Amino acid sequence: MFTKLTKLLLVSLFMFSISAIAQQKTVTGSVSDSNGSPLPGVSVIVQGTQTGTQTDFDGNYSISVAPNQVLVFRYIGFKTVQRPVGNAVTINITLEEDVQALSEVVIVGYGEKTRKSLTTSIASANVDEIRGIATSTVTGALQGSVTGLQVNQNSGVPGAGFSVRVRGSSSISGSNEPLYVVDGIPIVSGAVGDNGFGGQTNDILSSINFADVESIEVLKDASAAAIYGSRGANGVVLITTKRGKSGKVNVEVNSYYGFQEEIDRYDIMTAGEYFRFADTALAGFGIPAFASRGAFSGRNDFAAQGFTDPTDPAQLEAFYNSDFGDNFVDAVYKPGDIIVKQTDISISGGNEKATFYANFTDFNQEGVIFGQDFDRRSLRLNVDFKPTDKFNLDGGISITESDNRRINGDNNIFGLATAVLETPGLTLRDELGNFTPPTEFIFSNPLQNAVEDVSTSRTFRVLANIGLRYIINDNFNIYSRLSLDRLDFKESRNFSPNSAQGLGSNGEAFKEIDLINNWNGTTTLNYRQKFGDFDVSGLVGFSFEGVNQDSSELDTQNFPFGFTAISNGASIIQADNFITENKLFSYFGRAGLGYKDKLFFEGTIRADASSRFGEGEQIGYFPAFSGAYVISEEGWFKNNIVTNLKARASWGQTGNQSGIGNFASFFLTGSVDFAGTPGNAIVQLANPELKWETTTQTNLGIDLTLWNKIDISYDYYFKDTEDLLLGRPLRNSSGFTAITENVGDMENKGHELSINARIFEGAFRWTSQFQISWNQNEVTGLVRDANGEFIPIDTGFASRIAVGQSLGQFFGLKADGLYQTLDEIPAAVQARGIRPGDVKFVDLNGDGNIDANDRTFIGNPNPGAIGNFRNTFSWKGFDLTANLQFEIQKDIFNNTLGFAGASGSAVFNKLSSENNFWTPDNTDTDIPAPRFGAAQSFNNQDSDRFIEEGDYIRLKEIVLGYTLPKAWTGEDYSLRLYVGGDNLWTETDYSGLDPEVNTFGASNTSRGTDFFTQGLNKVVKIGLNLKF
Amino acid sequence: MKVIQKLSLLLIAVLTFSCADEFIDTEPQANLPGERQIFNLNTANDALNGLYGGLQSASIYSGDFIYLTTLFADELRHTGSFPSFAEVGANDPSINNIDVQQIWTAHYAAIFRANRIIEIVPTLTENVSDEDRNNITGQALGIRAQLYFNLVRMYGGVPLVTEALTSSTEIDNTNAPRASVSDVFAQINQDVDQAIALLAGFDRSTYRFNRSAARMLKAHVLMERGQYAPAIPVLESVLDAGFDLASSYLDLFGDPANGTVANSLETIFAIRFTATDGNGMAFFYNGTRGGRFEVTASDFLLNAFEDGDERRNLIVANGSNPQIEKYTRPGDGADDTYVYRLADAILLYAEALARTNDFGEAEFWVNLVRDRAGLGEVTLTAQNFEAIIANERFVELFAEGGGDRYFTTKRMGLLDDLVQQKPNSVFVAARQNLFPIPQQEIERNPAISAADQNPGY
Repeated sequence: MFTKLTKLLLVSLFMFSISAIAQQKTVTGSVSDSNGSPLPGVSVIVQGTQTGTQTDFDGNYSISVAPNQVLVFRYIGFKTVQRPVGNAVTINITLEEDVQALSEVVIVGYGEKTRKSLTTSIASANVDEIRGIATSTVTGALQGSVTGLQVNQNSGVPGAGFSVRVRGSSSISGSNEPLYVVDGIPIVSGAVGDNGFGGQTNDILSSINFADVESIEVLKDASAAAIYGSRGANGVVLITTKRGKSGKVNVEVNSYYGFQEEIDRYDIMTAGEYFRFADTALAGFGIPAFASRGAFSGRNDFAAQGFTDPTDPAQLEAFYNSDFGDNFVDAVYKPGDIIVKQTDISISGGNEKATFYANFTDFNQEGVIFGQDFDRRSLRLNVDFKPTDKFNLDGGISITESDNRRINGDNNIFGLATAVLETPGLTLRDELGNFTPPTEFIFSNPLQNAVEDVSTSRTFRVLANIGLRYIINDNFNIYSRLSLDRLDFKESRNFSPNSAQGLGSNGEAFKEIDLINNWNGTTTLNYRQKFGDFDVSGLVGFSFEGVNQDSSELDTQNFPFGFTAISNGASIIQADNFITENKLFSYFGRAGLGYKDKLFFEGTIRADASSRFGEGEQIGYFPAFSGAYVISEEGWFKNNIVTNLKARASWGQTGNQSGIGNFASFFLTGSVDFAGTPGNAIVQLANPELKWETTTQTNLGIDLTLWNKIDISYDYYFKDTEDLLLGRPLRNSSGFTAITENVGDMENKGHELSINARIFEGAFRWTSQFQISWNQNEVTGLVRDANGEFIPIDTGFASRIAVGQSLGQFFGLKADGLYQTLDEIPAAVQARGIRPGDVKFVDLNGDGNIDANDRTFIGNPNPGAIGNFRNTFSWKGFDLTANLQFEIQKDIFNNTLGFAGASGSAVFNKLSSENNFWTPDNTDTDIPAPRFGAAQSFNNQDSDRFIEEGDYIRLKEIVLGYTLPKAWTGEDYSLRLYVGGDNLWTETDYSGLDPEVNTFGASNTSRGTDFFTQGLNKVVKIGLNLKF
Repeated sequence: MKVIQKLSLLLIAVLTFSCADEFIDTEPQANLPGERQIFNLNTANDALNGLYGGLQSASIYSGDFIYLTTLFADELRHTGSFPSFAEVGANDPSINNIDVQQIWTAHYAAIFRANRIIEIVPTLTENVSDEDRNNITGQALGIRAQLYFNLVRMYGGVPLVTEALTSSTEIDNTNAPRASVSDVFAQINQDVDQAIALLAGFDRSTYRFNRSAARMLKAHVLMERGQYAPAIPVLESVLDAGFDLASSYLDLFGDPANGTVANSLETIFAIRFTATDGNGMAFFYNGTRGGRFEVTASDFLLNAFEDGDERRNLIVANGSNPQIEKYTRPGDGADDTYVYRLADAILLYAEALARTNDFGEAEFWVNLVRDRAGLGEVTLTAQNFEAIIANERFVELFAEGGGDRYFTTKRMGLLDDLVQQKPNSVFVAARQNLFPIPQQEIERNPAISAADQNPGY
């Protein structure tokens, strides 16, 4: 399809470019703004035709036109001007700024609208401002750019996933990520592949090339998203890619080259410090030897360091003050320059009949830790072809291939955690440079894990679409589009026969291949007509979508040395293939009514039939209504202070079906093999009532412009989600632990405020943007137990879902410092071996002992408010942009402390901050005494000792650019050079690496949890934008 | 241009009309409908294999059940990082202990599978022979009894679920309170007696719950309940079934090249594991060949060996630490787990004899086992037999599928002292050395309240 289409278009391009159009003359001219500055890129269109061009960099245009025709000059942010041609051969135009920017075109579901006529809550990201962020995904660039959109990078691993929340979380077991729609195609998003990397997932959105993106719209309220029905509940991100414009061929080259450095790195105890800690913990506990004499490692480090008498305090002190072996944490970080770079080259152009946009982008990001990097190459071709006045044909294809190398991270004994926790004292390599064998270590050799075990994935993605519009008459057109989102994900993991993971199996290789096809077909009939003061519009349509996935997993072991391919393994461990699919068929419609450009109403409805729904719940209906009143259009209102005032209200219902497995409603037998013989078992109970989750959202908003300078937009929303899919726990003694049912309820309510001010305009420009949103989440219904009490759900390390609380609040004991004397320890607690220096937990239920019944809510990972503050200055070719991103009132459960903190097991090395542990001589501290066994387990219980404030403010991006004067570059060229930095400054009280990360990735319910999670990187970069 | 117009109209027409009929029909490719689980001999056999697959659970015979019971006793020492293991090693499991909960859940998941077979297979009268029906049903009954026997000794009285409930409504509408210990034993006895009857003639089959396995279970149940004399004839049937001790103790266990394969002569019942359904035991016990070395032999176990005991060779050095080597393949876990083998039957028989005052005969059997281990003979008396047999079971059966050290010392009333001798452990007499009923079951089961929790938790 692709080659044919391309040929056809290339041929047509050629044909039309040589066909002259008779009886016309050429009109030239220039377009400038009210300051006289030339305006490049203004559309110049012959009214009533598809013919048009755009102005070049100096605002000049040239167009073929007949004398009786009218030229229309249109430019976003300016008032549109119409000019009859007549006898003129030169038409120069000055466009007036439309400061309210209300004529801006906004992409909506299955169409577009002017911002002025919007009745719903849709935020547009300013794509040009975030273009230069050094990130592998579109979502990375969206961070701190759209009000009400919470974007967090789950870890600093190249290619790692983001979690994105539009107005809070609305699901527990389904996805909370918005639906991503690229050029009208709902695409597959999220993580793909089995996650064997200890928490951190990949992100297939990284196969969408941000350089191609023309605009990003976020549909936030239900009324905007309802047209996406059972997938709209989390909001919808509409991504539109660039298209060619008729006129001369434009070439654009954008490139940056950056250096990265981790924001923070764990500071761990030296060998001597660790042994002081661990020996203190083991003292008097009947362990055969102290840690320094091999209790855990079997290695007598004390003797190895030349000491002879462990009963001699002087020798012990000297040993504890010594340091030997490598610093494992420093060793796993790469030395030297860690590069991130991107170059994209695009060519676009065309004539009145056909236009094209072509782009090639190459992105490379090295990881700051050994064994990590991410590369992506992508190609896109978008074409538009207007063979007749009646038909428009559009096509687009993008091909991306990305390679991601990863190591185990987070929650995994072979990852970064090992570098922190491994008993210190060893060197990672011997004198010959060979890795010290993993058997010498308690867990493994952290550097060897990162270097010798190799995990690489390759994602190949084709997004192709072809669309056809048939213009029936001025009022009706019909549009059909067929698209394919094809994703091939291939991941290989190779464990060296010498590494900890490959040792037992004499080398092991895994291969996973996921082939995902997402076919989508949509047809809409579009209508628009004006009757006097009334502007009526509508659409009806239907769509089908089928996603099928074919996954294979292979695992072989026992390799001849040096061989790594799956086929080289002598023992086959696993050869699995899994095929699944789901389908969706939908009808939808929208009707709009405008009156005198001041009153707008809109209604939408969508009916979704999904293969995932149970037999009894085949079709879901999702209605929405909205209206807006532009008060400032009223004659009685006109004034010079409030120059624009618009009120909006909307109500609608959207759904979420992502929590339903493809066959979750079926009663199923599965195959269960036993030692190579086939077997079966019931694997799923029947569930015919299973259906989507429904979110009903009401939105009230005001758009206000003061003195034509300050745009203020405020929204209040209330989201009520019902029929939440929950694994309703079954008593474990039933043989099953849960069944998915529509039982939960949740509310989100919040405010969003966005202020955009043009403080100075003219030669010196200063624009300022402040966006903040407050969201409050409350779980209002869960499964009830036999007594009618809601059953809380525990997830993650210490996250709990409970009615009346925010989703995934932390639940644990409260600590009140440390016990200082034996007297203050209750008898029952004393009986468990608890002594001064141990943690004094609060006996909340007053039963004289400390147990699970003393737990309470100890923190909330959902931020009270998020936002950003961006300032842009420009003066004579210089431009400076700085964007601050912040989250406030957010707690983090720092589970790293449960292992690398003083209450963690003495087997593990500790953070150097833990050196200040309690001793009878050092009582003025919060860090408990080193302990072993029951007392250590007691001290280490989940408690508010691990809760930290995760508020932060971060300089997400700062860029200083200079556009070279035309005198230097020549008239046909535009060159901007810039230096910039990402994440250069972070202000936070959080003690971990980065307050933004989450060890549970995009998890709905276990948020704000840090567990040796790799933080983000600082980036310093230089770049250029060249256009000619 | 006409061609393009026509093509366009065609495209719209295709989009509009082609896909409407098949739009949401999907069928799982990897599953069959639940109603088609068991309907002939093939499916009945498959369901039985599915039940054995359930026994392979990481929470039953490839892991937690064994580690946690013997950590609670004095057999293992915790060397790894799991807090849930640390709690049990310190004899202070929390009511939320994840592994205590998973042992419970995995047992009931396997009981569900057994219940399906026990319910449906006897109804397949038209296309399945009596012999096949009895054999399959008998194995399922024996396994169900074994699972309840594990549960009742770990947790005390547990819910008795003997029906496979296949919808959430059925589950909600059926009460499942904690049954009394004696009711659970009544059910176990009923199942095991029926299994022994149905499995007539099926006395040996290494990886099947054969009649000898059912008799071993019966004998353990009788011993647990203090019915020593009745255990004697049951054990004699096992001893007469043609099993023999492997010539060398080391023959029972494998090497890293081949893994542990249940000895065909001595095994009464073992769980088979191939590389595809890897046994987790080596991964947890081993630290020198890529395992996580989560648990190891305690000093009590090391000290229980007499000099020259060959069985001590199954504990090797990992640096200055000991490491249990009864499972050898941490990479793929291709190691079998013994549930019952002849040495267990012999020692149990010796104990039953001694408890009925036949010390001479008892001595003979104990010495048979000692002899194989390269040890000299002992003389049993009323005063020493319990300690000697308990110790013999300790060094003979450590780290195997029965979790024997915990159950034997608990049964004999020795565990209280052992727990108190463990360094850094918590002893709460009221707990009677039981594990807590998982808090999750209490929260989810309307028929069990917090008041039903085991005392001391």
